[in-house]
Amino acid sequence: MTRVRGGGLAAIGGAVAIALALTAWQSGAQTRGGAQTGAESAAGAGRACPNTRDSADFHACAIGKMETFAPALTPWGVPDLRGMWAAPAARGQDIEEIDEKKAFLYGGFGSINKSIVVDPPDGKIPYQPWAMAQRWKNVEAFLSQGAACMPVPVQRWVYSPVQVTGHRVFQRPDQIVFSMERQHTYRIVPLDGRPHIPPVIRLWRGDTRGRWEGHSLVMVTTNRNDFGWWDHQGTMSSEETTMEERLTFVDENTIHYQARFEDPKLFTRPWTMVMALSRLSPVGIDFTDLEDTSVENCELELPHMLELGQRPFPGTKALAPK
Amino acid sequence: MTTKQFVLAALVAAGLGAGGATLLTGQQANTGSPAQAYQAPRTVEGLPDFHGVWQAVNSASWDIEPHAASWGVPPGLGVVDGNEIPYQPWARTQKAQNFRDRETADPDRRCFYPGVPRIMYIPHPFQIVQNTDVFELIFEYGHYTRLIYLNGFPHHEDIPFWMGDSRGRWDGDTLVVDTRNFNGMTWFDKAGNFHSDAMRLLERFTRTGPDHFQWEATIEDPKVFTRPWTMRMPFYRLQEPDAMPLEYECIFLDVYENRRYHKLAGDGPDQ
Repeated sequence: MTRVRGGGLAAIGGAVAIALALTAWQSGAQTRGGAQTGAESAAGAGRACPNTRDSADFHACAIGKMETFAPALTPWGVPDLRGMWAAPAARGQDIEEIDEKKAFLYGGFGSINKSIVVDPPDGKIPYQPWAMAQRWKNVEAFLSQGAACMPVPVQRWVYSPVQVTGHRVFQRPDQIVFSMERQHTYRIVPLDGRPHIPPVIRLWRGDTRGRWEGHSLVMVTTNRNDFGWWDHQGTMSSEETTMEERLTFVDENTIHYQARFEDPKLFTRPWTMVMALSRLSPVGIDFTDLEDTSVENCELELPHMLELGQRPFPGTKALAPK
Repeated sequence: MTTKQFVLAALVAAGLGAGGATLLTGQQANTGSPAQAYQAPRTVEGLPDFHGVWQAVNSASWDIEPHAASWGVPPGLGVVDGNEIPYQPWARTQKAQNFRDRETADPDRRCFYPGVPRIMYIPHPFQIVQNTDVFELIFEYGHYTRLIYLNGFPHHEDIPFWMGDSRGRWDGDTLVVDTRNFNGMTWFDKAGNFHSDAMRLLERFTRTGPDHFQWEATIEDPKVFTRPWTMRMPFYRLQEPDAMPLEYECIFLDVYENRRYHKLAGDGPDQ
């Protein structure tokens, strides 16, 4: 829930306020004191790479800018990520290109339709043949995690839909913490070089370790479970899927977010997805997280879905060829 | 007088001054809690620093009132001032009913938000992160988060929350939090102690040492209680160097291990 200081939003119904808030940040505007200037409300104004809604285009633009831009630093001398950030739109439905046929199937869902997969260039997840076949079987046979009340898997964290706010970043010399409104998801990223947790422990959010490489925050995640999909399209991962993320400033209000995945049993080659993260300015705004009650609602609905023959995804291990 | 002698003399004078002040204030000085004596370290923003991994060490999660051990339930002296929660007569009856029905009626059994204050003393670690706008608690249990807003905005009067709407401010080194707008669907513990949507919670967080903070919560709920009452407990910093919240995912474990829903659907080994 957001509320503008001194404004009249408090008197307006929640849905309207949410819509206003979404409009404010989706357009890249920074609302201050309840007023938007024309320059601020223009999409992409002041950005080094204005087209944040097309991952391939943004990626091509950002590559050169990332090398030259000098971001603001924390008092201890590393890029300062503290504050609030959001991806330009949710891609939980489908991370690949949403063509007209898909958009019709999804009920017109999604205002962005380009794939967020930038490598391979065709924008498709390069599944092995067995895995591609299994993927489409998954859609028919199993509930995706969201529908089955499960937590947000780590590979899906950055572009999950939000109601109002996005990611809050808390940063200290030895640790960075990301907290997200969606399903009250958080990630704790030690930067002190400590080893990963024992492999027997498998987490929805995995176990992430971070380090600074120049101006990039590099995060490596292990200890994932094999229940997580990238979206609702059967896009399974495995316990062996490696994930390396890089967060690099393009300009003071934009971060280039990149995640590279590798898993020879599941994919024919490594692949990479990219999104822009835009800074949300909390000045004069009450950025209150709305509670995500999807589990509470789901708890009531799940028995009915199961009665209709739908099943929770059993994990990739159970489905992979022996 | 050398510099060293001067410093010594100044220290002695300061000590006498402090002693005199103690004598003058008499009883009041003795009632001051050790909490006030400890100077909390500061964050880079200059705020009292609560960063770290913490946990309550008591049996409040089972029953916040004094209770003997029972099967699977550790005994406890309770965390409620005066030991007994001042229920209205109808509410005392309701509490007893909740206790009898706890296996099915406890919202935690259905993986719902535990609510505040219950999430605080569920026996799992949590981490505190903070900046000038937000004091946030991130819990291992259910990966719940609790955001306490320090941005000066008032409560959302028109929106009910499972975890309430928490607004905090700094009173010296103490974080004072006012939480309202509960949905009335959460309990205090596994014993069926409960409140209504009219609850207002006033909390104080105070660092009392390098590895401790003291927490107290005063509960006002004129629909359920005859008067406001207070619970209090210390929180302990986990000493293991690798301590961090892991995951306890209630609904995931319920679906995949209890196979509760499979049973409901007439599926699985227990059909």
